[in-house]
Amino acid sequence: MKILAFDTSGSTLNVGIFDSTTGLFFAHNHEHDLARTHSMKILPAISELMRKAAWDYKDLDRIVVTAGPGSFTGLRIGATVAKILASQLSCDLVAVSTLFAISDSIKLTAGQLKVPLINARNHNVFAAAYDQQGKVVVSEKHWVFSKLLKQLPKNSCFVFEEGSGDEFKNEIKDNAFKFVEQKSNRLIDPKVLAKSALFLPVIDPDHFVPNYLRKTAAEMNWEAKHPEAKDGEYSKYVSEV
Amino acid sequence: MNEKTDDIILAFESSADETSAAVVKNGNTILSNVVATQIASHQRFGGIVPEVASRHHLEWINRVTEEALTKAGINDPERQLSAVAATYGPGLVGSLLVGLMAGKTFAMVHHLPFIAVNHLAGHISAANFVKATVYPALAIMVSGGHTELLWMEKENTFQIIGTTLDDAAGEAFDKVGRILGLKYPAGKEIQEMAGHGKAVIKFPIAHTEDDFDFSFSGLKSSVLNYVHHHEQVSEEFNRNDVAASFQKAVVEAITEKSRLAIEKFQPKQLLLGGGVAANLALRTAFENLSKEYKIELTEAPIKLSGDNAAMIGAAAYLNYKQRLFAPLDLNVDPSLNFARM
Ligand SMILES: [Zn+2]
Repeated sequence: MKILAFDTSGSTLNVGIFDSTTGLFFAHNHEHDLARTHSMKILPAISELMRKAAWDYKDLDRIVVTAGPGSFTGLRIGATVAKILASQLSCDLVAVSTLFAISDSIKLTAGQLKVPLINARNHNVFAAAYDQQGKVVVSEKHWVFSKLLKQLPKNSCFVFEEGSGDEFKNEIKDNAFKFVEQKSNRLIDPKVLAKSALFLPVIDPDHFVPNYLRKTAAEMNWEAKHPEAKDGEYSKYVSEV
Repeated sequence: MNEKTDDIILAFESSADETSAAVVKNGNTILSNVVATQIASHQRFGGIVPEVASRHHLEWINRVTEEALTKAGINDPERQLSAVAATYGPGLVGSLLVGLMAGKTFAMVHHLPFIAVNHLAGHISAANFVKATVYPALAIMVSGGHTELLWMEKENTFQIIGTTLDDAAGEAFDKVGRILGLKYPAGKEIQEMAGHGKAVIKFPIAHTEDDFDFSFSGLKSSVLNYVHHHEQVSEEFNRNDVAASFQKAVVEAITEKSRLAIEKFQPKQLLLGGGVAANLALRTAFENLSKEYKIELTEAPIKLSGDNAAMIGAAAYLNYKQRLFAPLDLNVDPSLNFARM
């Protein structure tokens, strides 16, 4: 199976192509960028990898993209590319939780739970907990950090990008948890991401939207004033003219 | 070799709150033009919330694209299309990104050249669906985000003669709409109310230092003062008259500046485009101006005045003829504009 995988959720752009039959693998990652500038780098990176492998786009069997959480703008850049690629090539689309991808990209001592964490500002985080087989122990959510700490079993180990979790380190230690910092360009391994296409479900590209895990302030305020309005029916507010 | 006799372009537009894809032949014939509007969503908040807008664009981009292709009978893009285009500015960064990335990705995957289009050039090019422009032309671009007098010495060249120093004309309509308790966007309703009122209130037309620039924030303030004053002293006032007087002031400001520009630059053609160009009082004023100076006027069709991808396809064709293609690493430019003359 010929797989193209990419991640634009964070500060590093990750792109990889992987052939599950031959084991061929090429990757591109670009560090120290703002997520929003992935819009400049992602397509040249993809076309360069395709050229290296001498594949045409029509050869692709599966597209893999990180579904969020992460930078809202970054996620939309990757999601747009993934949606158009999958629909134009009529090939399969797989969306992988960014937190799962972070967790899946790191090896920890046996028995430890992996708690990938993305800083969501104001001492809030996007986080989840997985066991070593990748099974969800605590579901991914937008957490107030102190509340997340209360949900975690003893042997939890946080995983986050170097420099992004300094404000949490003391609380992590005080609660007798551990943490591992990963360099930005090692947080998500494009090969691991590509391989997740082999066991995760295929989704409909036309209806795929990122898993932002957080509504906008405008919507939260509006919903607080309109409790009767049904949740999750975004598209009813958009119509063709 | 399969010689293409026609040049067909797939275009994307997503700079504000409309997600649109269109297929345009030779820059002047619409094969399809699909527009999904988010107005109902942003009405909840009284105006566009950029993050919500970007999310909606992403929800709709594939459906809009596929429908535009199907309606136009495009089933083999690589063979049937000559190029792919998208708006890259000006507009909201998160919104622009969805259409631009969709356009670039579509072009890449089908090995087609990509064309980056200035949204304002798109609004002006909507006139190409009516008839070909004669140059030099004076273009008047009025919308929710822009109020520009543009000089077009020849095809596909744009220079700013005058622009708004504060609010855009459409923005003034929305703000006055809010003062009158109307829903966003308020242009249509103000036009309707104005039809039932008389322009008897004297709202000032701002005089700007540069002859051709606009200013609408003072006008908005005087409407606000008028309404507040009457409410404070519990004095009845006719809301339709306020709408009519405000609309008249906006139309006069735009036509008077255009008149000055016509006299100074002597264009052979007038072009009127942008969302506010759907306003009938403004259209009538320009039709009169056109007769008075015996200069032909081409108005963007009312259906193509608001944001849509067909107009982007029309503007893209002008770039296509000059082989002005953009690379895949092109980014959005939210504050893109033309240079001053
Ligand atoms: Zn516009």
